[in-house]
Amino acid sequence: MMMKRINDYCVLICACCLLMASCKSEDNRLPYLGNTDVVNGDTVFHTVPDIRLIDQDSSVFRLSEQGDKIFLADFFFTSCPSICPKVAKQMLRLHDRYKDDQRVLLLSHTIDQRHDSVSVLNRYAKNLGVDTDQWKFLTGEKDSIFHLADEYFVSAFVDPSAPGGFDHSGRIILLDKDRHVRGFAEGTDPESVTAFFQIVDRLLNEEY
Amino acid sequence: MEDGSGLSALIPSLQKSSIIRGHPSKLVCLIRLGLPKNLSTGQEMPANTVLNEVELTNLINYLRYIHLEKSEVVKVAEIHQWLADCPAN
Repeated sequence: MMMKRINDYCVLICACCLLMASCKSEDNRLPYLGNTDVVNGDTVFHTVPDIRLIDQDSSVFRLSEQGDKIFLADFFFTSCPSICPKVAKQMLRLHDRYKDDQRVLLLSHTIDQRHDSVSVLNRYAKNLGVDTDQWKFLTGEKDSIFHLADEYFVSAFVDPSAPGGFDHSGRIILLDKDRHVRGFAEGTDPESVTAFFQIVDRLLNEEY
Repeated sequence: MEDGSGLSALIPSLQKSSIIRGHPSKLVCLIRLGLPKNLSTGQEMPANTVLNEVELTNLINYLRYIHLEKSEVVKVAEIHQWLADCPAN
């Protein structure tokens, strides 16, 4: 009896040590943001849903069909007078930095389905002068998009008293290949985005 | 943007704008009347009827001060006259 007790403790201590040792090597990985569940012994990280969207060329877009990529996502609308131009300017910095890097895809989702049709998005992309292989402008069913913003931890809602009629955050979210949220930047703050470059590079090192 | 650099074709740059460099009468009419929808970019500039003549004078003097190497101050009376002479659309 006594021996078994000691044995049990030894096994427990060994397990703890192993766990902590393995924890150490995980230190360098970027965090997984959002709720983490354990299902049947497996850790399940918060995952952004794979909903059906339409891009600026009317093509169907799904995160899961983009191949081996990480994503930088934000939410906007084309007639937004307040924060969107600032965030767009920062997204432009990201677009230029990762130009021709096939591993990175920028995604701007419109929250104004009424006004931002595919042709409006198309012209917006042209006016910005960006490579739409590198940066997609997406729309979808209204409730789906607001739910998606929620899953991306970006607040967005209709507010008639807000400039433009929508109140939303200027966050830029970093998504890994498995649609887990691994980091974010404040799109209205150029310094936040400069620091974000390092986070994106770290994820690229991790994933590839 | 704060430095007047704009955002590609979406927000034309003020720094490089020929209107700011031109005669201030054109600038004041532009601000007051706006611009109709541009056929290639699909964008239009809304008219601004909120700013009064004193505010417009200050605004135009400020714009010319920061974007031009040398500029002469415009006066409220001049702005008043130019506004009256703006081409009606």
